Amino acid sequence: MDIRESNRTDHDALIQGANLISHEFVRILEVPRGHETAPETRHYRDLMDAMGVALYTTDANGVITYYNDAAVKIWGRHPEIGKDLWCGSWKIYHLDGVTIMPHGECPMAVCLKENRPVRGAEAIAERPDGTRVYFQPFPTPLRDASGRLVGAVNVLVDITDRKLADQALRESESRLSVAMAAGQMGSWEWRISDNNVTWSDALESIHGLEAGTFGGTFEDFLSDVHPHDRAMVQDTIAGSLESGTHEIEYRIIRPDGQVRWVLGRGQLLRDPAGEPVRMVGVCMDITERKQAELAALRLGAIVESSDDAIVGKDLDGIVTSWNPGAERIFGYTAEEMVGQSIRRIIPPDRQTEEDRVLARLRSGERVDHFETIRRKKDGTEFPISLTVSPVKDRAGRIIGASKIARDITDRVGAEHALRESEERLRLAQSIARVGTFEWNIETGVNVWTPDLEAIYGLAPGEFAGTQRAWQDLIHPDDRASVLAHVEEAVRTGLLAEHEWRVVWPDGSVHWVAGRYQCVGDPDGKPLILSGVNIDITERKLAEEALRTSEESLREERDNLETINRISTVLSAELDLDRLIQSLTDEATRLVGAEFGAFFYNVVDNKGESYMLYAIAGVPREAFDKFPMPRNTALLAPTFAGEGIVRLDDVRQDPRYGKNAPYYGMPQGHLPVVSYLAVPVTSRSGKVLGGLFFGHRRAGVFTERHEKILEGVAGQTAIAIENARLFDQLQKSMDIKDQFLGLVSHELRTPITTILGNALLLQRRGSRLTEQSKQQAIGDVADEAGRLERIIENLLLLTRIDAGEQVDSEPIRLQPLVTQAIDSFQRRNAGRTITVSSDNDVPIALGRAEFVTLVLDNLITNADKYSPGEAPIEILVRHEGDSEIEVCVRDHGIGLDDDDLKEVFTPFYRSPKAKSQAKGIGLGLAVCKRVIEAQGGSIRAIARPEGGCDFIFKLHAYSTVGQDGD
Amino acid sequence: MATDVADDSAPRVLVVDDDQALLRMVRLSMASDGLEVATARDGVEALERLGSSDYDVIVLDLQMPRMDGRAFFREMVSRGHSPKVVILSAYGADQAQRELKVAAAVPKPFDPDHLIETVRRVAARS
Repeated sequence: MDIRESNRTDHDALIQGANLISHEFVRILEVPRGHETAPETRHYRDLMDAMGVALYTTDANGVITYYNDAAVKIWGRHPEIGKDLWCGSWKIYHLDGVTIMPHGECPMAVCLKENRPVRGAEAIAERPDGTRVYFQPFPTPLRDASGRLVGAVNVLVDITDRKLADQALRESESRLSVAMAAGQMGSWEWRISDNNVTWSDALESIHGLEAGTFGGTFEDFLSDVHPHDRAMVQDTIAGSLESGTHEIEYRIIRPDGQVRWVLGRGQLLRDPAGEPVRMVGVCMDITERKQAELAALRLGAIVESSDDAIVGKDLDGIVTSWNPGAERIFGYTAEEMVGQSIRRIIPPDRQTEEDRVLARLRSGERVDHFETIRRKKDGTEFPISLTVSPVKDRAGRIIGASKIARDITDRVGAEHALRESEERLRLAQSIARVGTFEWNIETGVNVWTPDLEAIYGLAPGEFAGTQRAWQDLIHPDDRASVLAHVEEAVRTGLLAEHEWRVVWPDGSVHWVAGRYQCVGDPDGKPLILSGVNIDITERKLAEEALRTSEESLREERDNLETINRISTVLSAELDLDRLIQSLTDEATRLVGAEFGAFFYNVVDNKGESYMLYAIAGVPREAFDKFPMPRNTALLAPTFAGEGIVRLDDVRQDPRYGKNAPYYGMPQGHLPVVSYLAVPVTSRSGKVLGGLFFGHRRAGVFTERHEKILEGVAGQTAIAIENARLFDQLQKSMDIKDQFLGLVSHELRTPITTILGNALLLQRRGSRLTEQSKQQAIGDVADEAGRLERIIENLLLLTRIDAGEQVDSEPIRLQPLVTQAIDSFQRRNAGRTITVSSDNDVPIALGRAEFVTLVLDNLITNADKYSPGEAPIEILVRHEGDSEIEVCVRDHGIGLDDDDLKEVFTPFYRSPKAKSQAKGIGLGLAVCKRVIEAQGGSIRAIARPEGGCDFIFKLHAYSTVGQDGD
Repeated sequence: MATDVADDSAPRVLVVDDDQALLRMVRLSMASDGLEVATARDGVEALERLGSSDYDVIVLDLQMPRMDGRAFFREMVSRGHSPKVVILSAYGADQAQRELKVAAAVPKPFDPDHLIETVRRVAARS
């Protein structure tokens, strides 16, 4: 039990009592002595005088009115009643024992001045004789019935014993901790109830912890214990919960990995009921002692197990120890030899040797590998190699010698055998390309066999013989790891085995496998590192080849899978924009690019090519501020379809940054360093666009990426072509929709006129003027004719579209022109149409009804797009005797360049034409088909001065049957 | 453009269509039924007519060169004219009626008496 704890309990009870007393007896004390009205009061008062608790009272001004004997005991004096103020003590000090507490500031004074009880204060009272008392006051105000302050009562409790005990404990603790620290000893306390463990700073230091960093539980302690010892420690401590004490030696591992030996002792503390409450104990770092023990044990084991004779003797040559090796070599047992002179095994003629050895030992010298002859118990003499070292006591005095003796009887034969075996080894090594080395760590000299030199590509004797020279031959990439291995081998003395590359003087790289070990002196100081190297280049190459082929197979498979996946995406997408976007996204992910873009060639309706793009890896807005990419020097090879461009660092490329106005990276442009560009080329060889990838790091894209993208680009080209075809189909369907609208309009309008006029004539014919009737009938006829022409054109277009062959025959063009004009003017009287014709126009090859249809279409067309008064001219010309040309010239709205290309496309109507007149875009398309079906050609020309020429040519009929007109 | 003689209470009608034959037929039909008819070949010409005369009903084709039916209608409304409108079209007449919120639509081809009846009915609405 803690002494402080038991004190505390007593103390608390005392305070409670004191409080009780002060309140209970206030009433009694208010009555002055001798004026007690009841015998009980006087009795209580006497009791109080006699009781052990110090007690005194004051009036409201602090003047002492009463005190008892116990108070006198504390104060060491009798204060003057009615005169002394606040407290009866001689002097009061604060707890530091130095600072004086004026009486006017003592707890009693505070109680009166502030009219409140004061609790918890502690102070020191000094008696007139200089002795001191620690006390705790409990001043309480006294009030009359109306609550007015009339005085105070104070109970003083002597706490000197407790204070001194506390102080002593503190001092002893600090003395203990000093002692412990000096003795590498730490202390601990384990509160079992809540598994709280506290450690002294010294214990933390033993465990290699910063002060205050120990975790605070039993498990935290256990985790520091060496895994091999953990179970034992746990069991022992658990056992001590029963037995009450423990003493264990165990290892701990410090955070830095250092292993320390610790001796721990523990003592169990129980509560009064006998239940374990706490365990306290100390720990001591015993590493050094343990190491010494272990060393001794190890040494003993070595001596015991040694094949050599190890013998101890004093300076008089008396044997002090005799190991089994010595028993075996000399035939004497330890019992026979210990205590006897060593001279027993020295042949008589060599006894002087021992004198010399002893003399050298006395002067502290060591005798190394001294070869001589000794005698066995059976009398046989044999060659021996001796090493004799002086043995010193702690003070460094030589007290004897240890002698190691080796029987070298077999050595001559062995030496011979060794030479032979070495020769065989050398031969074997040479055949197997094994080289050996021996590096003297102290001198730095590294001795190589010629085979080892060969392994490093050196001629015999060429190796410079230093460790540094060897390092220089190692492949730079492997050097650090090889040296780390060597360092490890030197440090641990363990066998090292690893592989590395060496660079031969001719620059070729070879693989070497090494096995080596470091030998040190008995103190553990490394001396020699020796071992072998084997050339394993061929094995490595074979391995490499295997791996490469496996890798390339795997790569190939991965590539195929990737391309497959992408082509699935591509073939599923017919919308060109979405297609390009998903392709760009996929491919960007695939090659691990930060930025990806697809620029594709688009031809606008002015016939100019420009580029659109899809972006991946950055929001498209990042590009909003940039103009359309131009055909820069860097992009040009890709758009020229010259193949893949892969750059590890685009900034190093001479083509980079050649273009005005940026010269390099435009402000805010994507920070591209690695660059990969792949042209996307159609089967016909047309470059549809290019895939471009970038990464801000250098050297990101590999040959594998190229290969994949080559496949992807092929798939992309097909997908783009599909998407474009689909797009065209969509457009032609749109055109058909427009066509339906136009056709219904064009067909229904004449039908309306015909139907309306017919009904009008039928119902109100009698009421109409003759002129109106004739007009109506004429309109019916004309509109019927118009309908017929439309239907003819449509049918003809379909027929010729379906590949109908036209049987051409000789026809004369001028009459057909005249007929067409007549026919037109019957319908449109207002239009002036002139004809001019070359002389001797040859007979053409064609069909009259087709030529009539073409002329009718061209004249109707010219009329539609010409102002009312503008004439239409028809020119019939011939070029030599082979071709006849008919030109229908108007002075109308003319055609734009865009229109010239499209004007013969079925259902095409130029924006100008749409605003000018109705039509379905059929006439000119029919003309082209019909003329081409007759072997001729047709073209449109926009004349600079306005209006256009539509010119068709037909072949002339052969000169046979030519008919002058 | 000539105007046929008609009784004073007859609705005044402007027929706008780019097809001359159709215009002649409609005018003859209406005039013979006592309507006061004027014609225009496109929106531009129709706007000119509106500038000089008032019409109760406008019979309007949609597909016309220079200024089509829709453009004419909007221009007319923006100029503050509010005659009744009957759409006359070979394609999408009903749709245009709903779109422009006009009085009636007559798809081509049509019976001229049906058109006349429609025009009279539309004109009779206050």
